[in-house]
Formats: sequence, C-alpha cells, structure tokens
Amino acid sequence: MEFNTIIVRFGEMSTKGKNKKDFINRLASSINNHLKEYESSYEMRKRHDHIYLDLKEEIPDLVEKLKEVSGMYSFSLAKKIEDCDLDNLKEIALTEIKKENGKTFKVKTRRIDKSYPYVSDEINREIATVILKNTSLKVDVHNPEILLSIEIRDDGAYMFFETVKGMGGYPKGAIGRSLMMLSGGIDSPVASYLLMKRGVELSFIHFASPPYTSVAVLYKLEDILRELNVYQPKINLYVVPFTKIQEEIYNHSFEGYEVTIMRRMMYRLAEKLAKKLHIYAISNGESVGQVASQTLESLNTINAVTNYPIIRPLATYDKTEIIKIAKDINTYEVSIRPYEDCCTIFPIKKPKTMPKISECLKIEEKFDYETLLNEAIEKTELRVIK
Amino acid sequence: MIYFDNAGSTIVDNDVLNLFVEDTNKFIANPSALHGLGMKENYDIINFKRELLTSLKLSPSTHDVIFTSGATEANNLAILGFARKNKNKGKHLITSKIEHPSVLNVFKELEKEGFSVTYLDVKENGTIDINEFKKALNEETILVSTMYINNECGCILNIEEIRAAIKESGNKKVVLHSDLASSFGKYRIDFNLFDLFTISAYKLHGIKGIGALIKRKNVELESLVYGGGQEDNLRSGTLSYSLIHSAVYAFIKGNKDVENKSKYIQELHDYALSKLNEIEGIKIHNNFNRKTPYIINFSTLNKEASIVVEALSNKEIYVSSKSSCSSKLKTISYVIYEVTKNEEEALNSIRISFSKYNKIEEIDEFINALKEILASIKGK
Repeated sequence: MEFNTIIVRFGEMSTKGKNKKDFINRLASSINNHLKEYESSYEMRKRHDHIYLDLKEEIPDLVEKLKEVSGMYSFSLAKKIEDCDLDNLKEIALTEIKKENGKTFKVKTRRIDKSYPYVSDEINREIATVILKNTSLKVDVHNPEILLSIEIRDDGAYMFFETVKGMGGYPKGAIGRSLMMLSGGIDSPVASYLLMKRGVELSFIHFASPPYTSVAVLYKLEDILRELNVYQPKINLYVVPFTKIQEEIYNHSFEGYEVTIMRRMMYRLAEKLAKKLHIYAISNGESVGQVASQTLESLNTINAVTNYPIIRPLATYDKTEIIKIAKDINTYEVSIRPYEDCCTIFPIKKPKTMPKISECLKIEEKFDYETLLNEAIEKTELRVIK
Repeated sequence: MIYFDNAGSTIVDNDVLNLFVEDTNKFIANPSALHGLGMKENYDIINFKRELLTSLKLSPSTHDVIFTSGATEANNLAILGFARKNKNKGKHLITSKIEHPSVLNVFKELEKEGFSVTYLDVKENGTIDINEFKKALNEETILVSTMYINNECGCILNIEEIRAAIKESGNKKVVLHSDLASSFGKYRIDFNLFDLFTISAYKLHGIKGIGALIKRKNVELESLVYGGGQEDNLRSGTLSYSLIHSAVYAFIKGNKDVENKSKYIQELHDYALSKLNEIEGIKIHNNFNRKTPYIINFSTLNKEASIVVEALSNKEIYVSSKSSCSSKLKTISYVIYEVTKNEEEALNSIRISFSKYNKIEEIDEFINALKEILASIKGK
C-alpha cells in the first residue's frame, strides 16, 4: 500500500502520568533529529496518544530509520483518508487489499471518533462483505494473512496493513545521564546501546595506558561510538591516563589481586569524573560470572569503593546473546579488532575469584593512590564524537 | 618528528611531486586516445621507458617495462604470470623463506594450482646455501625468485651465485626473478642478472601507486588483468602519464650515484650502530656477509618491542616492528626468525631504516629516547 502517514505509538511511556508531555516532546525531537536531512519531506503532529508524520514525499529507508529511535513501541505505515464516507472507505479498502499478497483476511476497525454513524462491527462487516464479493479472499478471524486495520478519527480514517515493532524503551535523555565505562571489547558497546534505548544519555570514560596500549585503541573506540551515534548524535568520551596507576598497582599488589585493585581504581576514577560532570550513575558492560573480576564476590569487593549506583545492563546476559546484539548494532566487527585496553597489559598468573576487601585495603595502603587518581582526572582529555 | 621507517615508505622528493602536479595539469588525455594529445602522451611514455632502461644499462631492444600499481602487482604478474604461461615447460619453482609476502603468498597460491615450490632456508650470515639451491634445481624447475636486499634485516642475498648456479645447471628454461623493491637505488646492481625484476617508486622518494616489472622480451607472461590491452596486453588499464613520468624520474634519480649516496647512509648507520652497541638489553642482527647500511635491525631482550615502538611513536619517533601492542597480534618476524632461529628475538625485533633526509642528530635523539624508554617501561 502506498502510505502517506506514519502513526507512532509510545508503548511503555504512555503510562507515565505527568511526565508524559515531556516524554512526547523528547520523542518528537528525537524523531526530528533523526530525520533531519528530510525535514521538508514530512510534517509532524503531536497528540496525547500518538505522533503522526504526514509524508509530503518519500523518505528513503524510512522504516529502518524509525527503528533506530528509542521510545517508540511500534509504528504503522498508514493511508490517511479525509473522506470517511463508508462507501468511499469500502472502495479504497477493496483497491488496496487487491494489491496485498495472501489468501485470507480480516478487517479490524477502531472507532475513536464516537460521532461516526457506524459502530466498529458494522464497518468491519460492510467492508469485509465488499471484499468477499469482489475477490477470492476468504475471512480468517484468528490467523489472517492480511490484516486490514482501520482507525476512524476526527480528522479522517487511517487504513494500514503493516505495523512495525519499534526499538522500545524511552526517548533519548528522558531518564537522565550515566557515565559508561568503555573498554573497546564486545560488551560495553552493547550495554551502552541498551541504556540508550532505555532513554539514558551516556558520557563515556576510557582508561588509557600508553605505551602499553596502542593509540589504535582510541581509533577503535571512536569507531564504536560512531556506530552508537545513531542512538545518541553527540557523544563525549573522556580518556583518563591510567599508566602510572597501573604501574603502581603492579609494583604493590599481592599476586592475583592486580585486576581487583585495577577495577577498584577504575570505579574510583569513574566516580570522581561523574561527580565533576554532575552525572549521578555509573554503568558498564559487566556480566555476572563472565571473568574472574565479575564473580559476585569480586563485584562486591570492587563495588565497595563507591556509593554510586552501578548500572550493569548485561548482568544476566549470556555471551552469545551479547554477541547477537553487538552484530545487530554493528559494533561487533569493530570490537573484535585486535587492539584491547589495559585489562590485559601485564600478564596475570591467577586472578583471584574471591578477593577480600581487607587484602585490597592492605595493598592500597602501600601507595598514595588518591594523588595519582586526582592527577589522572586533571589530565583527562575529552573527545567529542558526532 | 623523526622518521626512521624509510624501508616502509619514503618522503616524496619535491622534484618528483612538482613534476607530477605539472604533468597532471598539462597532460589530460588518455594515452590510448587517437588524437594528437593522446598520441603525444603515448609517444612520451615509450620514451620514458627507453630512458629508464638505458639508465639501468639495459637495452630497449631486449627489455620491456610494464607499469603496475606497485611492487605487489609486479611480483604477482612476474610469478603468477610466468608460471601460468609456462606450466607446460615444468611445474617446479624455487624461492627463499625471507621473501616479501607479495612473493611468498603468490607461491602458496601456485601450490594450490599444482606447482611444487621449494622454499630455501637462509643462513645466519644472510645467504642462501648454494649447495642446497643446486640440489633443489631440477629438470622441472622453470622459475627462481629471490630478493636482493632483504627489507627487514638488510642482508644482501648471494644472487650472483644463484645466477651462476642456474647457468651451470644447463637448464635453459629457468627464469630468474628478483623483487628489488627494497634494493633498487640502494646498491650497485647489475640488472643483467635478472630475467624479470620488480621495482617500486615510493620506496625511492616517488609517489605511491606505481611500480614496474621489467622483463626480458623473450620471457612470456600471462596477463592477470584483462581490458583495453595496454602494456602489450599484459596489464590493461589506462596509463597515468603523470604517475609514470614522476616514477621514471624517481627511478633514474634514485639509481644515480648509488655508491656516493650510500656513503652518507653508511655514516648514519655506523654512528647508530656504535650508539646501539652501548645499550644493554638489545641484540643487533648484524652478522651478515653483506649488508645494506639503509637498515638496522635489533631485538629487545627484556622488554616487549611492541611497547618500545609504541612509546617511541608517542614521542613522534617512527620505527618499525612486526608485532603491535595487542596480545592478539603477537606475530613474529619470519625473516628475523629465519636468520636467528630464535622466536623471542623474532617477536621483539625493531627495524630502523634511513634515507638521505635523515640527520646524524636524529640518531642521538632516537638513542636517548630509546634508552629512556627501555629504562622506564615494565619488563616482560
């Protein structure tokens, strides 16, 4: 069917009482932002229940583009019919259904404009009768191959066959901001996507350890974030120099505690930076049990250095599930490039899976990490990816 | 910035660049076109080839020049093109284990096509065991391909002995190819030693994107690229007048006065070597019978070379290594392995390579930076 209107549905956000207006505005501006290149090709109507995009001309790959906007439960590709006269609707329904593929059909009408002279059932029956008489299609009310939906509203009737599932979640930024720990591996970009989808605006923190890690890591991170620009057009990446801290850790740590102490330092740095940026949550790509530092005992010991909420969207995901999403959002190919971050720069014999806080404190007493951390925050560099 | 990776790529000579720009603006036609400008360009290109051959002391009546996109394509055309065209004469080929990938991987491809290939060892002194070579040579052999100066360790192979051994064998169908991408302009070479040889412009202050295969007229090749039939049907594709002119200029200039130019490089080399010798924790790969001064290769013994190279790079001192700062990219240098038989040294080798644009002060700066880095980074 040639559609001329997109009906955008909100899903979960339509339950959010008084914040609803703000959400709708955010979603609207998110859509406009995403379709910026085509701003003259459509007009937007915001209503309390839907957003309508009235198309003036075709927008290439529109369906794919709309699937990339968070906060959209679903959208339908509809034909708007101004003349709601039942005979007119019958005629258009018949013409349009002939163009569809399938042997069975069902007509499903919603009469939102209660002043319309026929009730939904009458409309369904009238239109179905015309179709039955003039085509070889048969009715199947349970599993129709063609579902013809009609919505009668005060400004006209909307007829559509196709409803597309949207990205879901909340509109960009509706839930606030979080500081995401980004390594360059497979997990953190996926965790970032899930948060962005949930309406969280992200800033990123990366711990760089030159010369033990290559500058190529930063190119890789920028490439990953450019993929995420689809969901968040402007991304701030904070690169924290981490070499000195790493070296001190390896000079003072007991065997097996290196990674635990390193993660504790990373959390401390993330909190310091988040405070500076007035961000109130930290997030990362940790998945329970995936590696030694992600056992629950390890997470307990590592997490003890901060009171900040740590959001771990991948906490319960299997690696295979994570990889699938990474492939869908195009970050996988970048993540598997060989350059990695500092987690692997010094050979660790046997990382502890049950590190103790008391032991960590003994190690951390041995050097003035607070000064090193503050220095690192001072020297942090911002890169903007858009 | 200090650029010590001239075996990787060189600075473009100003004259070469100016010539390229001027020609690009002036000679806008397709050299295959049948109008005046096209015909002039075509005529000039023929003359550029004659000039190039003459400067190499080769006769345009016995040799041809085929311009390609670079040394990789020239090596492919020489080896694949020759083997495929002459497979009825024999199916055995010989090369060395320290060739460039654009040679080695072509031979691997030919093995899939049913050829048998002998990969010759290279001894610690940087030469091929000539008896081993003679043993390998047989009735079925049609092609031998070995480089002259190795691009990683700088050793000069005993290609003169190889040529003599081929002659001695009496097998007249054997053709000798040499990848001279890293040798051309760096050593006084008798180009009559070869039936086919590869050169590349950007290794010699020319522009990237052009190289050439030079061949004796009686050596027959099969084309790898089909189209308009340029370059005697061996390499179809519109010729670039300006790229060819600039490359020929770079080749001729680069091959002039080779010995005198080497003297300056030798000074840089000897100075760097004396300074490197004072540094503990590195091993210089230098025990070669013959060696080019353009390249010095050494291995770090207690520190990872990749980290040293990254640290140098962060100071804008550019040198070359085979493995990078990544646990997944721990590739060893197969060349250094071949001449040392030591995996650790091959994993941690660093190459510095000079050009006429380098200065002795840069060596001091490099040495100081290297010392500082070796002292400061954590060991293996």
